[in-house]
Amino acid sequence: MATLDNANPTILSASQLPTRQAKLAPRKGPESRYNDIVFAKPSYLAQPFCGQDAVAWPRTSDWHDEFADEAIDEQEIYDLISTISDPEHPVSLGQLSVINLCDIHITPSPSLGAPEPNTIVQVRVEITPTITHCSLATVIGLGVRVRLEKALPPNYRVDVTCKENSHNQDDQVNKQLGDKERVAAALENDTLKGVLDKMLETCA
Amino acid sequence: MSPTPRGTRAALSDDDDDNNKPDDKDWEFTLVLEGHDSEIKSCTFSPSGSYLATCSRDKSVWIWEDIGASEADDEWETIAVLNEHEGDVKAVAWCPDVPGRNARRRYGADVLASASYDNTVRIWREDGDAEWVCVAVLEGHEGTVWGLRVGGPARAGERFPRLMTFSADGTIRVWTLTEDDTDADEDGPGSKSSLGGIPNTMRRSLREEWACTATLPKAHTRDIYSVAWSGESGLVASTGSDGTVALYREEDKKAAEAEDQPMANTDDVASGNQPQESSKWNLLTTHANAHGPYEVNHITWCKRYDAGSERRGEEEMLVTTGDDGLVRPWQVDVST
Repeated sequence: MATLDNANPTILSASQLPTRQAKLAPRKGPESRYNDIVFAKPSYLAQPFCGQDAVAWPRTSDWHDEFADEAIDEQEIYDLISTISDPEHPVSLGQLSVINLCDIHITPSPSLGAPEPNTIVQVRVEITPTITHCSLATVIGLGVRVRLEKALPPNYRVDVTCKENSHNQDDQVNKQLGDKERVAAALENDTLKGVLDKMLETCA
Repeated sequence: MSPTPRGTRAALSDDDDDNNKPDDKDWEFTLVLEGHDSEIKSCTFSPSGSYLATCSRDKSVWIWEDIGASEADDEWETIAVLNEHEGDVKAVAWCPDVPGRNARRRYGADVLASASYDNTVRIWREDGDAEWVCVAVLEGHEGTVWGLRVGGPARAGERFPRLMTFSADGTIRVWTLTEDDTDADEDGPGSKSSLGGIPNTMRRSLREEWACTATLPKAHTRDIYSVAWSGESGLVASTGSDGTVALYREEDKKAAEAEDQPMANTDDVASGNQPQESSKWNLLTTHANAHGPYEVNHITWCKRYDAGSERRGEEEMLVTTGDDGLVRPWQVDVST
């Protein structure tokens, strides 16, 4: 690329990005500090196979449920697309804050549990181009749409739009990204396909 | 009443036909029509077969005329390139040759309509100088107009056929030509003498007035990609990105009028020249997941010829195509 649209973007470090890790280990307050002692089982019960949670192996059905019945949530969508590389900087869309966790919306909400395989689920992603005249907004949006359509089950409908007022021609960009014929035609364009492949290379 | 899928095989209904012998002649490639700069979205022959209309992502509509000397001589000539749309032209449709089509004698009989990414529909006719001109722009949809259907069943009074358009905004609209039919042979009241000597392009009669006279009940949450309007039953079926098939029927006009008599009268007085074609449509049923979780791209009515049909060649069924790569036939049972 000869000239960069935005030569000096703000870049977040990996530790500033949203992740599921934090959610798994909630911080313990002082009121729970002595739980280990207070709620400890008497030593005579602390033997294998006594009590439910000492060494209990997970039951197969629990293990199965945990994976099968968990709905795809916003964090999972974020993890799928935040690792896409920016087309003009060697950093990810997450690091550039083009993709933000709070701009990912799923209907019906994943908190209601996993949807039936035929239930149409809408995933709305608002992208925030780094500058308002960024000519690559369409390419970035296309990358997000392609990534999600490849990764998500067929009952998911992906709508990618520019966050309101983040882009001068956001109406035009949104309309293009919403037109399945336009999207399909774009993917037949070899140059564009090359750019997209490069952007998606960094996705796990 | 509900449409039910009948398996994926019956769509091709020729296997067991005796009197309806399949044409086993091979199709032969004869001609390429070149001109469009980008993907061609739709093409359709005029009712007489002498014109072909094509439209493209290049924002243009082309009309081609068959100038071949005989049926074997395949030669087509471009007679119009219509560049007025501001976005991809997604579909074109000719008005079928029905009574009422020729009511307006100032133009040629053929009427073409086009639907576009620019959210509008345009109506095209051939004027007295054999020029194809846009006579109306139908504005109202708030998203890409994915397509349009002309007609439905013939109606009393030989009015000009109506137009049904469907869009990314999730709505289906019905449009009616509202210009008074008595104006058709003249240039309008009081203007005949004063405009007599003015060239065609100055005449205000080059524009037609169309009005949106109905919006079908909302049944879709996403883009509507296809609508089928039966010329037999008048039933309308729609489908699209949400994977739902919806079925509608227009309310019986006489019954509806009898009910609303007082209201209708005051409306007419108050609104003067308003279109009186407004009609009410009822949503009969919806069928979700017509192709499982996938989008449905097209729907059409067609006659049943399979052994399971009680009225072969008369009974109508629906056929849909989806992103799952399947063609699905549907039986439609409407109890009145």
